[in-house]
Amino acid sequence: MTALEAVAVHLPPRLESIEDVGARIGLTPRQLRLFRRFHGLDQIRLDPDGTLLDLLDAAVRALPELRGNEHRVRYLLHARSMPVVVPYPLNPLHQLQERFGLTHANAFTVTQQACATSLLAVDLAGRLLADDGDPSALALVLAGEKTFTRDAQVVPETSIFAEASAACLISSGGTRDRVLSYVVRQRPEFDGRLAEDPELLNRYLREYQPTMIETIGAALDQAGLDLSEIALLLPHNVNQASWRMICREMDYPVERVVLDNVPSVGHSFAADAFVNLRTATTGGTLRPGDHYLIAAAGVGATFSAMVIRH
Amino acid sequence: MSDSALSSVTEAVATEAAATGAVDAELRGRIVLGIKDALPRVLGREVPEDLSNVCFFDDLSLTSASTIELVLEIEELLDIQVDVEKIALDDLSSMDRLADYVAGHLVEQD
Repeated sequence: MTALEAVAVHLPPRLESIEDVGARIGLTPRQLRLFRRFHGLDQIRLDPDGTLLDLLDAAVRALPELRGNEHRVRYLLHARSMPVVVPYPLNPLHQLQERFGLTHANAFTVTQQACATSLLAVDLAGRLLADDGDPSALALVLAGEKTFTRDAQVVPETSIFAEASAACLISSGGTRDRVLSYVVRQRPEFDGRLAEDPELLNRYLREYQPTMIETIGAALDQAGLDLSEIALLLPHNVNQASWRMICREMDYPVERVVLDNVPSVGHSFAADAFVNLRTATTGGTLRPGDHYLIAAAGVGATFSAMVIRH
Repeated sequence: MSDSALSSVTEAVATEAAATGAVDAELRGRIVLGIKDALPRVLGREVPEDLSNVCFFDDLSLTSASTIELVLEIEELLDIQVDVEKIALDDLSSMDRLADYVAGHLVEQD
């Protein structure tokens, strides 16, 4: 059974207000009020002088559990929202392999599910390890990206991107945080440019909530659990408003959704799940044996949910 | 319709409105006027005069977020503050639902 062995997070020290981001990329005062008042956004973690390599490097350095186990890492995955992030022939993953001595690892990027890709990467890593034959083998999943274009900085009417990064060590058969279920709903009818297609944006926003709720329900069914047995819901950090509405619809207490990082970190592409898991574990809100659910959504569109036993 | 006419609803009136049905009706009327006034600006185009049977999502192609922008616009127009955190999708679907929500969820201003 796939297990999350350790999670590390890097938060760039620079905090920028959404108003400063808005002034830079041309958001209107009304859009900014929507983000602050309704969506609950406030400050965004950014690292304007750092590269993608710097960002991922910092997350790996923050993972002490990797030390001495580098030779066990068989797979190095970057769970990525943006299809292209560095010019050829640069490859931050290969540079990280050299820096950290991950010489036994196959390094590759997982993409095409936008910000839901990190759950796919965890599932994929677990399946690869299960087939590997070596029970001590590990995979290292990385997430985090640069806000290097306007499209990589804002989701219209929905969110503002940030640059936190994360590293998660995966095993097959571990006992720490065991994955009980994983469900994906792919809705390609929502593929397109939301920023330029109001009709598409409208359809997507209307279908978003029921599809997310159905996906969460399916993951719970697969795990054989009821929503009331979920101690904590780890959301994406897109905004708070969508989770308030989803919680009301599902009759789940919003206090059990880890929304702390929405106003203080921002939506960090596929890294949100790990950023919020780190918050939950360091804050002591998860006890051994607790079940939690990670929910993610990616434009394009992908909805996914994973149930895990802590 | 002038902004000054709309903005004459003060915090005191809003608080009183919650306590008395009569003023509530007056306030609700101003909210309806405010929605009609702000809607073309939020949408960027003219809207039908009669909005009584219009679905904001289906007929006007408003998104949930742009309807919230409409609420924020009405706040400025009427100098009121609305608790937007309790809003549900259904509350955003029509003129009547939105006016009811705004009238029923006024909060003390910061």
